[in-house]
Order: sequence, then structure tokens, then C-alpha cells
Amino acid sequence: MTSPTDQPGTAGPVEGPTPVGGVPPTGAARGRIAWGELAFGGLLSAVAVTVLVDAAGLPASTSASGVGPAFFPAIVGVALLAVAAALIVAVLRGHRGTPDEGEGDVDPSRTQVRPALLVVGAVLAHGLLLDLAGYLVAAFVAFWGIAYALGARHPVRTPVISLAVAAVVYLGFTYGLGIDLPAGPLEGIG
Amino acid sequence: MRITRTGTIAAVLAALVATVSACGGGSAKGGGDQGAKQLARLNIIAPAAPGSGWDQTARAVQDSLQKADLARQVEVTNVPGASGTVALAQVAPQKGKKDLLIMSGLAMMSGVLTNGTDVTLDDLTPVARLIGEYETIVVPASSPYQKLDDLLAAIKADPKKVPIAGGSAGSADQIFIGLLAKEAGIDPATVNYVPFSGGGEATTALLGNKVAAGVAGTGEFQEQVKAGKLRALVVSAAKPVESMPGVPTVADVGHPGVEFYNWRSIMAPNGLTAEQKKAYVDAVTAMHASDAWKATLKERAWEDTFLAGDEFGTWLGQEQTRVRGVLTELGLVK
Amino acid sequence: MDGISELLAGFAVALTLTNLGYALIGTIVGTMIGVLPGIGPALTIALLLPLTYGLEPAGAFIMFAGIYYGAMYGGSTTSILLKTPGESGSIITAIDGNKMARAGRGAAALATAAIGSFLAGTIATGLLAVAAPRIVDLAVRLGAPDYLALMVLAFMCVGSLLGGSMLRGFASLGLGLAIGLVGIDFQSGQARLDFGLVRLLDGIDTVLLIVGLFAIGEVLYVAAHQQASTFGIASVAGQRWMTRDDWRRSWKPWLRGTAIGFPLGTIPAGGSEVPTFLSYSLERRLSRRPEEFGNGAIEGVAGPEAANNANAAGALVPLLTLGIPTSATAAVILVAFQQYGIQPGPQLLDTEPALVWGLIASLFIGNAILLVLNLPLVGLWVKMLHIPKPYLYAGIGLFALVGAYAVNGSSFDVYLLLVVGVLGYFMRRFGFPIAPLIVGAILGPLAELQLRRALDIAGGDLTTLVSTPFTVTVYSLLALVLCVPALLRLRTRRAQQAAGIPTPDRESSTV
Repeated sequence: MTSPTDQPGTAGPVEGPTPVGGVPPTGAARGRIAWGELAFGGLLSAVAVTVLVDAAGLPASTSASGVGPAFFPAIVGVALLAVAAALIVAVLRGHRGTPDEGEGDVDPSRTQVRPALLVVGAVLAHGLLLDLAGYLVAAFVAFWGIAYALGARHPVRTPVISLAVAAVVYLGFTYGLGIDLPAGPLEGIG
Repeated sequence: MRITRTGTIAAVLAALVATVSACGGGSAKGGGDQGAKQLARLNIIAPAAPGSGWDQTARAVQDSLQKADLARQVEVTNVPGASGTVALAQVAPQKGKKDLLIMSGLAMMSGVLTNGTDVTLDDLTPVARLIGEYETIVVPASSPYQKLDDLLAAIKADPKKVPIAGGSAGSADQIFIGLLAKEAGIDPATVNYVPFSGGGEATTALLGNKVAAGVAGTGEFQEQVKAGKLRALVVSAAKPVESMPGVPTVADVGHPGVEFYNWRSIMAPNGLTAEQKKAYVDAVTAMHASDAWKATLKERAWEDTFLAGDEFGTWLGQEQTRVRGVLTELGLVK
Repeated sequence: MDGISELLAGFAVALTLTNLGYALIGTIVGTMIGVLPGIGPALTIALLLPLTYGLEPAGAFIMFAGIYYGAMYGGSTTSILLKTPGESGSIITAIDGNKMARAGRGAAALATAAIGSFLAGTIATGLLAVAAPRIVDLAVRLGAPDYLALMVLAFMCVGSLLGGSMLRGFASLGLGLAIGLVGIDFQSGQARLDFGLVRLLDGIDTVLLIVGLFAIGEVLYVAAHQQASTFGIASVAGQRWMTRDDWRRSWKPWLRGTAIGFPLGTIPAGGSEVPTFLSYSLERRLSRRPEEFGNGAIEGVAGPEAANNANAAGALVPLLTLGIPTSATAAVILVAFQQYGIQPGPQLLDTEPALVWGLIASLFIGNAILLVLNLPLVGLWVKMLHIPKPYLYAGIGLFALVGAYAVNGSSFDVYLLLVVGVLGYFMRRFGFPIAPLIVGAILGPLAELQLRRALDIAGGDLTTLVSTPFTVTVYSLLALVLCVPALLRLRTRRAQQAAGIPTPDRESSTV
């Protein structure tokens, strides 16, 4: 975390968008059917159905009121199904949500798929490497992956910084806070 | 220039981490090397979060083993989750693994039975039962029930009208009330048992007269009973309990068969050699006799229910049959 | 129970050298993390939870108090200098605060925010100390139906008040309720929605949920949509703090903001959005120069900031006395309590008086430390934003990962974090507020518990749910509350359009 920017920027207001994704924006134009939101409505319905199916498989109540473990899930499932249906109708009628623009310099109408997938990949790799290679390697890969996805692509500086940060976090947690993180191949040293 | 600026922040961070670690304090302690039977590096799994009952017991064992020089180095690892079944599933497959112990107890036994997981307590080698807590049944001070028999009679007449507050489903509280009901000729499944979470939730319901009675470990209601706000009808011990003076025991009320406590024990993976097992049993037996352990028992107000080795194993089988029986009648185990 | 002597005892707990150290560390790291763009108090506390794992409860909560106020202060700093409010309560601050900063009055905006927050925080914490024991006296008399009524009220308010559209709020809430179902049912011991995975038997960890939705969701969002890899920060170098005129214009809004913020925080009415909007529109109405609002009026920073801090202290009242979290931040604090096996509720003041009063005393202390520390050190916090954006977000991501992993030491939680993060990304992308999901996931199981408990105690009689005067009052209030915000929303939207700032639902999802 102690280096000048790889892509030096101004300290003042951002002047115009400078895409860093490496891939041309692929955002959907306004006005067409909002497939993404429809899919979200579909996801809600799927969750609702899962909840209801799971509830149907639960045993009957043993409590004094006759209200058992399936009662509340049934309420939640039905309500969620109703909300999902209303949402799909609303989206088809053209009501769209306003994407979050809280960060100032994000443009939700332009989506860079590759950096996002890179982040997903980095987190997945982190999980796999935790058990295989220990925390230090896993953290190094995750930090480098995310930093690379967001535009820090120096071939030497970025990995060096990533390694340093991973080491600081590892040592800070193990020795500073006494929280065990898997040492991996380093087990037994220190 | 940026390098120096962010350098400052890094320095601040480093200083913070150093401060935190300094405040946290180290707990590592080198033991002496006298004592032939001294165990080497031990790892005890506490199958619950830091600060929980199991964690406290594990750390007390750690402390006493080290103070009595029975083990050179003892580490406690927390593996929380699902009444200890997560930890059990992690330890049981490590057959024959040396220097690995796990805390266990009634909650784990019950959790395994109700969750229906494949791994059970049979997949562990019993080392020793260490401590326990007796259960007690209380009613609000203004309650019409003066004796346990009054309460049981009311349940018999119309169980729905007598809501009883206790811990979560399958907890020691529900098991005890189930055992007692069965003994008194009441179908345990008909008892209107209402689960509450800890931290005085049940006490609040009792003081607000929202429920007819409450069942919990003696520690939960001790203060309120002393203050006269709650009346204890029975304590689940065979002999009078120090922390509950004047409260009838199960023997006093004519049900000596339901003596019961929420026990905690220490176990090891299966597949150990006879020597290894003996070494564990010897170490824990010596620990039980140590001053450090006695002091801890007193300080924490834990009941000493020590039972080691094969005797513990035999008892464990009986307890499992009893617990499984009542959980089945309660509809929690198929 | 007058609260005063207990509070003094609390100060005795908090004022030891070690605990003062914890409070200091808490405020520093809280501000440090809180100042990062898009990170609000809830996420800050969730990210910093692992720091307290090795501490005794008293020390840990004293550190939390510092983190809590530090994170809130850090949030307003970013709002003013970057116009990126980290949470819904800072949205309003961003309007006039950022205008002031662009006009070279950033230091004054930061000062009025800091002093206003301090004043409001101190008064509100005092009110908390007075109110808590009295509410506990009332709470002891409440039964399961009464609690259920309070939770239904919270659901309805959170679902309908947070975010731009009621439908989207309820969709998010419903998703949260479904997530809350995962795991072993407390009352029957049955596993629900566990898909045969032992790791899911205890449900989905709240910290993991919050960290995933906010932090991983944030990193993904920036990765997918960022337009530049640096921030546009307004400078405060060499500027004067408040002038005599600034003081004169600020003190009344501070007090009025406090008066609005605290009571609204104590009722389960969902977050700090409403009180800050109310304070802003009130100040504009009372101002002799309403045309300045939206163009850098100091009252528009002073009032809402005070309201925000007072509201945060108010939200601790239902949390400490009833065990009901009414915001994402309160939910994380609840988790922090539960980690130590402490269940907030009416008995908490009796069973853990040293802890509760120590916490309240630390809130006073943390607040004072902040004031002393932050005015001079604001330049240092701003430097956090000079860390290149890729490294900043990689750091946020890494901290989120270690936080999720450290809870159980299981890589399963890392994958779960990723799934939750992807969900968080899509919710933000399609304009679904995130806070209702979190409240649903946490309050859902509690509501189910109370509902079934009420019915069990009554032997299945449904009328028990409306059997007390308290329940009748709450449900009537609810009917009112559902009508008023519709009007309120119309008004705030107009105010925002006039001011040219984003609508609330955009930022409300970055609590």
C-alpha cells in the first residue's frame, strides 16, 4: 500500500471518464427490456419456491400451539413469491431501478465484465489456496488479483506490494491478535 | 512524495497492531521438564466460540495441565458450530491422531442425535467426564404452585395451560423436563415447552408472569431465587446443592431416578493405542487432583462430576440410551 | 435506578489506562476505515470485529464505542470531500458539504460536522443513559406478542422507508427473511434450508452477510463500473476552521438536529435517512436565506450531521434494552454482543451493568477523543484517499476475506462470502436497497421466535397477538407510519431535485 499510483491521477475533480477495464463497455442501452432485473425477479421467485419446498418437507409440529418449523417459512415463501410477481410485472411495465452511483466516478450504464470476473476469480482462488498453500499465498493471490482487476498492472510493483500486504496481514493476525491463520508450507517455522 | 505520506499511515498501522498485541498479552508459558509422564504438545478443540461454556472448560483444562506440569504446551482451538457437531465431524476422522483432544458433553450428544449426522460420540474415545451443572425448576414468587407435585398435577390436568420456559430444542433443560414428566407418568410430548434463548430472556418472562414455570441450569436463576423473586421447586441432584440451599432434590420429591446434570467431558479420536489412552486418563486424573483445577472449580461454581476411563465409557453408553429415549419421545429424534 | 451513579461507575471502568488505550485505538482505526469511500459504520465495525477477538468483553466494547463514532465521523469526511456518502445518514451532508468544499470552505464544513456530531453525540448519549433504565422497567412487562408487534413495525418501516421503491424494499426484506431461515430451527431443532451442509446448520453468519454484501459487493461494483482509478478529492490545506459567523449559524441547527435525531432513533423506524432529511428541510424552512441551501449552506451540514449522530445513539436504546436492532449498524453491534455470549435485552442492565455502563461512558469518551483528534488530524485521514484506488479496494477485499475466514477458520465461509458479494453487486446494480435484507435476516428469526412463543404460551389462540394495549397501540401506529412516509418521500424527493443530488435509494444501499 506504499507506492505511487500506477496510473497517476489528478487530485482535483475527475475530468471525464478514463476506462480502466481493458474491455469496451458493454452496457445495455436504455429503453430495452431490462433483462437483468427480470432475471432478478426470477431469482426471487426461485428462492421463494425453494423456501416453500423445504417447508413442505419439514415434520409436523410438536409444540402446544400446533405451530411448527414450517409455519414461518410458508409465510415468507408466499410473501416473497407475491413480491417477486409484482416486481416482474413492474419491470415489464417499464419501471426500472436506479443503480447505485454512490462512489462518484462509477457509471452503471457501462459494465466491464472482465475486471468483475477477475475479482470473482481472485476470491475463488483465495478460498482454494487457503487449504492448499496457506494464508500467505492465498492472500497474496487475492490482493494481486483484485488490484490487477482494478487497474494496478505494473509487472513488478503490483506483486511486490501484494506480497508485502499479505505478509503484514498474516503476521498482524497471527502474532498481533493471536488468531490462527493456516501457515501452509510454512508450518513449523517460527 | 506520496511514498512518505502513505509511509506515515503504514507506521501508524504498525504501531496500532503493536499496541493491540501488547495489550492483548501473551499466554504462552514454558513448562518445566520434570515428570516422566508429561504429555508433549497438546491441542484441545473447544467445539464452540471463544467465551462459551466449552471454551471456558477447555481453557481451564489448558491452564491446569500447564500449571501442574502435566503437559509441556497446550493449545486451545475453537471450532464452533451446530452444538459442536462441526468440531466432531472434524476430529472423528483423524483416527489415531496423537496429542489431539476435544471437549464434548451433553449438548453435543443431543445435537448429534437431533441433527441426525453420521458422525456420533461413538466415533470418539472417552477420556473423562469433568464437570456438570444441575438443573432446577422455578416458578414466579406469586405462583400458586408451592411444590413440584402441584406443578406436575397442573400439567397432568391441562398441559397447554402450563407453558414452561427453557432453553433451545433438545437442550439439557428440555431433556430434564422430559425425563421428569416421563417419571411422573406424563407424556413428555404433551408438555408445553417454550424455548427461550439465554441471557435472562426466560427470567424476564417468569418475572412478568408470562409463563407458568421455568427450567434451566442452577446458575441461570440463582440470583433471582436468592432475592425471593422466583421459587425453586426442585434441583436435579441426588444430594442437596450448595448454591441452592433449602431446595428439594429429586430424591426428596420421590423421583431419585431422574438425577441429571448438564455434563462436560474431554475425549480423543478413536484408534489410539492402549498406552496413549492410559496416558490421557492418567494426565487428566492427575489434573483433577491438582490445586489449580480445584481452585477453578470453586471460582466458577462448577460441580465436580469427575469420572475417567472405562467407567466413564460405560456411563456414557447408559446416558446415551436415556437421552435418546427421551428425545425420541419428545419427537426430536426419529 | 437513577442511572447517574451507574454511569459514574461506568466511567470508572472506561477511564483506566488500558481501556482509554482501546478507545483511542478504536477511534483511530474507526475513522481510518470509515473514511474510505463507500464504507459506512456497519461495514467498518464488521470489518474490524476480528481486532477485538482476543480482548475481554469490557475492553472490546470500549473499542467498539470508539470505532462506532470514528466510523461515523469518517463517513461525513468522505461525504464532504468526495461526495461519496458511505451510508444513508451522510447523503444530506454531501449536498451542501461538498459544495462548501468545492468553494474552498471544506475546513469549515468538516469543523461544523465534527463539533455538531460531538455535541449531538454527547447530548444523545446522556439521554441514552437516562432513558435506558426507564425503558428496561417498561420492557420487563412486555411479552412475546408485544415484541412481535415491535418487530412487525420494524419490518414495515425498514421495507417501506429505505430505498426509492416500496416494492424493492420489500423484495430485499423478503430475501433477508429467507436467508434468516437457514439453519437449525431454535424451537423444534429441525434443520431448514441447509442443503445437507453441516456448515449451514448454524445459519449464515451476520458479519459474513454484511461484509459480503457491502465490501465484496463494493469491490465488484467498482471493478465493473469504475471510470477512473483515482479519486477527485477537494483539498482543505491552509483553510480556516469556523468563523464567528459560522458558529452563529451552526449552534441552533446542531441542537435542533439532536432533538430530531434521538427520538427517531429510539423507535424501530429504520435508519438515519429520515431524521437527516427532516433536519435538512427544517433548517431550510427556518433559514432567512433558503436559496443558499444546495449551494453550500453551513446549516445544511450542521443540522443533518447532528441529527445523524443523535440518531445513532438513539438506536442503541432499543438494542440495549429490548435486544432489537433497528439498523444495519445496530445489527453488527448485536453480533458483537452475541460473540461474547451476551444477549442484549431487559436483563442486560442487571446482569452486565459494568459492561453496559462502561460502554455508555466510552461513547462519551470516544466522542471527546474524536473531537480532539480529528480536527487537527483531518489531513492525515484525507491521505488515506491518496492510496491508489486498486490497492485501496484490494485491501478492503482482503480484509473482508480475512474477517469472514477468521470467524470459523473455514474456507467454506470464503465461498459463501463470494456468493453473498455477487448478490450484493446485483442488488446495487438493479437498485435494490441492501439494509432491509440485513434487518430481515437478523430480525426474521427473532420475529419467528416471538410469534411461535406467543402462540405456544397461548396454546394456539391467534387473538393473543393483539391481546395487550401495547400491541393495539403499535399496530395502530403502524397504519399511521405507512401513510406518512409516502408524503414525506414526495417532499424529500422535491428537496433533492431542487438541490440536484442523487435520490436516496442510490446511496441507501451503501449503508
